[in-house]
Amino acid sequence: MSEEKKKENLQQTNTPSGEIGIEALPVTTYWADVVRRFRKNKIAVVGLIMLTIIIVLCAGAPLFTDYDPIVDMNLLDKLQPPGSEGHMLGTDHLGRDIWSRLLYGGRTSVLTGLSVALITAVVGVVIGLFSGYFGGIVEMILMRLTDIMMSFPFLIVAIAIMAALGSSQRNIILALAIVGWPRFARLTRGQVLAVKSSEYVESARVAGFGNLRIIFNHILPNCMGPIIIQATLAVGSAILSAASLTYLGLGADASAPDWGVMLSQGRNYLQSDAYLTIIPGLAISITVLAMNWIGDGLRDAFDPKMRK
Amino acid sequence: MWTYILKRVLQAIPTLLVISFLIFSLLYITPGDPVELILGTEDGTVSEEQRVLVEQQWGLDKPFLVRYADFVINACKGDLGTSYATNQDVFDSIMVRMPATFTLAGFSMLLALLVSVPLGILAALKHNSIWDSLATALATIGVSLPKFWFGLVLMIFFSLKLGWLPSTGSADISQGLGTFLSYIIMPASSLALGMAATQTRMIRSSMLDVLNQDYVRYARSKGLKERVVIWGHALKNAMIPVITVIGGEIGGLLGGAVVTESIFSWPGVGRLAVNSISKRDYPMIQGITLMLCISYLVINLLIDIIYAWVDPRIRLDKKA
Amino acid sequence: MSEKFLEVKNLRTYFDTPEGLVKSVDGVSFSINRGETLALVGESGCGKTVTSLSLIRLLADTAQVQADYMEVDGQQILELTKDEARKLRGSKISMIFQEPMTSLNPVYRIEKQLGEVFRLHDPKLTKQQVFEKSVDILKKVGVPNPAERLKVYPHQLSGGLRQRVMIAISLASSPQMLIADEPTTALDVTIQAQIIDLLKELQKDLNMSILLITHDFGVVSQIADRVAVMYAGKIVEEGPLEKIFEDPWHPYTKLLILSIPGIKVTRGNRLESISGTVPNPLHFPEGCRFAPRCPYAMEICKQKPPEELVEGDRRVSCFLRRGEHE
Repeated sequence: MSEEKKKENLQQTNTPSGEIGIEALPVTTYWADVVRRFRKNKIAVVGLIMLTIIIVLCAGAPLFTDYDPIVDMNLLDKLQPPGSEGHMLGTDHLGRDIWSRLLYGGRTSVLTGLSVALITAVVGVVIGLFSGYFGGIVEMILMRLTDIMMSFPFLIVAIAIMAALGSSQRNIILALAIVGWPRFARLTRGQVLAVKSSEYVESARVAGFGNLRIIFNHILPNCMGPIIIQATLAVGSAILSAASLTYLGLGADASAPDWGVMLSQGRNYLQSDAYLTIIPGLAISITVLAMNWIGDGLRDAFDPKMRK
Repeated sequence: MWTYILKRVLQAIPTLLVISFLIFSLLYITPGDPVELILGTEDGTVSEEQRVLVEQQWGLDKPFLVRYADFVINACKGDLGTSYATNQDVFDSIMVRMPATFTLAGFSMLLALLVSVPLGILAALKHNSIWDSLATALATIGVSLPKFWFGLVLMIFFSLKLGWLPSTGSADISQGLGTFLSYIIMPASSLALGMAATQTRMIRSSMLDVLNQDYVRYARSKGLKERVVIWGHALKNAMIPVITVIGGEIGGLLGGAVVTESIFSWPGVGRLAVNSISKRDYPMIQGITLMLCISYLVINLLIDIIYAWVDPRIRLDKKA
Repeated sequence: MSEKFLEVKNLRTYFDTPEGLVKSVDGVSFSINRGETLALVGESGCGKTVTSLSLIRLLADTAQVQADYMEVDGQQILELTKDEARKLRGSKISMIFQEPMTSLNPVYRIEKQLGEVFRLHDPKLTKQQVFEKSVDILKKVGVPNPAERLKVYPHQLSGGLRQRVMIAISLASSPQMLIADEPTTALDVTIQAQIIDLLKELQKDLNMSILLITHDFGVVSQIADRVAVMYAGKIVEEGPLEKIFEDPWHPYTKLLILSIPGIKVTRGNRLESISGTVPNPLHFPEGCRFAPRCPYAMEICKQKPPEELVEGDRRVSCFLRRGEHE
């Protein structure tokens, strides 16, 4: 036995009474614990790897394909099935390379998902923080508003908003952000109420810190777990909703490389060229699945009930 | 109970006012000339007299708030205006299609429950087993697929490749159960997918929670058969939180119906909505949104009543 | 000596967790005679409840339950099939739990929760017969207006009534032994005394054995015939109530008795309480498991566990007592 080990053992047996249970467990910080538990979760790690690959492929699209997703049309080469020469996933009805459209389209989809999640999270969290912290009339009005927003079928409201704003990618993000933020506001407010009366917030208040500082330095970090989980899941659901809206013809214009656009164009070729529908749908599914696996992994990693 | 229902109905009124105002003003500020839409001319060849005539006829010359007030007052009388595109009554057009949407939504809900209840319970009972992992994995995949795409894939295989099922259209139940099912099964499955997935996860975690409760342990200690403990004592408790989740799912169901109906040419409100959007038929869009929101509120009220009925703690507190 | 109803020898209940093997119960032996009350005393987390759940086979399949010998009324408990174990619970042994609020099913009326036990025993009973039996048994446990109470839900009853209802449900199967897991902990002091009196009375009427699980020596002193003190998965001392109260041999027993207000007061009228907590079952100390908290701990206590010393009708595991005898 090494000298050090002996020392350790000695220390263990000499632990002051009553602290044995605590002393004997490895001491870890909250975030290190979260990371450790996340890494132990195989499916979550697989999700993370999948997402990384998707992001690398889409961000570096020009490196992985020689075709331009919009300009490189070749009507002589149209509707080639997957596996054709020069087009590993085939071509669409205008002879454009599907692999290339898939890569560039991923940019739109992933960016849409991320932007919606980010906007809704920031807006919702700020509203939730303030209404939860200050309470009173501010809280009443804000929460009543979120109640109203949440009591409507969100896709229908998004469709109505899109119908009013007009079809474009930017408006999809806007519409989904408008219907999405109340979830975050509700979630954050609940978290704030839970930590607001805790000792460290009280002591920060006693110490004379300003409200803003308490909110952002003391309360927010303690609400981050559920917010991060919710944000991860929001990326996936935003990608799905955006695809639905685009499929209905409310999104990006028909020439743009976009998974939703590809799906809606494939619709006319369901009988003869089903791959035009199947491929972009798989791309959406795999991306959302990766996000959801990561989200699930985070949920388990943050869940205090699993913390033992 | 009745006072509770009345209270809930009264609470829904301001909600409806706010949402109708939002929709109304959104469509009001929308670019596009309603007169041209009504006349079906988009080349700007509307004469000044025609314009004045149409504006007067449709009340477009009145100020915004007056128009909104008119809209609300008329809506209370069941008059949601006239379609720009077809000149038909909006309320009637919607009501003709509502039953189809409700049939589809209800059938999807039934389908989702038929899958999720046994699967969720199985996963909870065989916690940490291969069944549990399988059910959880299936559920995650289920929420990750775009519903409408799943519908398209079903259509590709079962209608276009195998030719087993009609790809589009609908049948009334009076035409025979088999025919009815052959038409509804694909759109309903596509709508039910996400819901079944969410419910499976919910039932699993709720059941796991309940199985750890003292009353389940106590029921076992009484010597009751495991079957009685699970299906009698545990399940009813486990369904309580699930019922609230179902309430939230209705929104997704109605929203999803919009897309699914247009894929399968299901003659419901959703397809009407998509058509109206492409024609920029604002009174129709407005009416549909409002009616779907009302349906959502009514269904959720019903669910809360069921909830109170299942959980005596809530029911009896309400009385007191 | 009267007839033994239950005898347990070297019961070990382990749980395999991701962090390691948790030895919740680690070599526990005791017996209970017919009509006798044994109190199993100790702090929460020392393995009392796991012991009782092992007895009636109510632990999840993940638990590893082993014993040299575990016999109830002539039946080897660990050799029973699942269904036989279930029948044992429904007939010979009943259990009541600490929290009557959470132990009664919130969504069913008392009528159903009580009636199903009668029906389990005699499926041929008519509705009316079940109702009459239910009213009778509620009367027996001192529930006023039993016929009305049958129609209510658990949350509509007071804590004391809930516990009485739970006792009624447990008695409905006419058990020969009742396991009462902290039956009074969740109740007000006055109601505690009523419930204890009720248990004593019922025991006399039905000649029932009781295994009382508690952390409260105050309750023990009112009802128990014998006491077994449990610490960190082991029984550290066992004997007749009076002797243990008069002269506790194990320091842990001593401290438990002293921590009860109103029973015994130390010099200077200061209430003695035990510092620290029960050790983590993943990391038990090598020697005596109580040594880290023991005010009398010696060097030897930290090195090896003490062996059990049997003296007449008492037994103890402590080097202090051994020392006196060597």
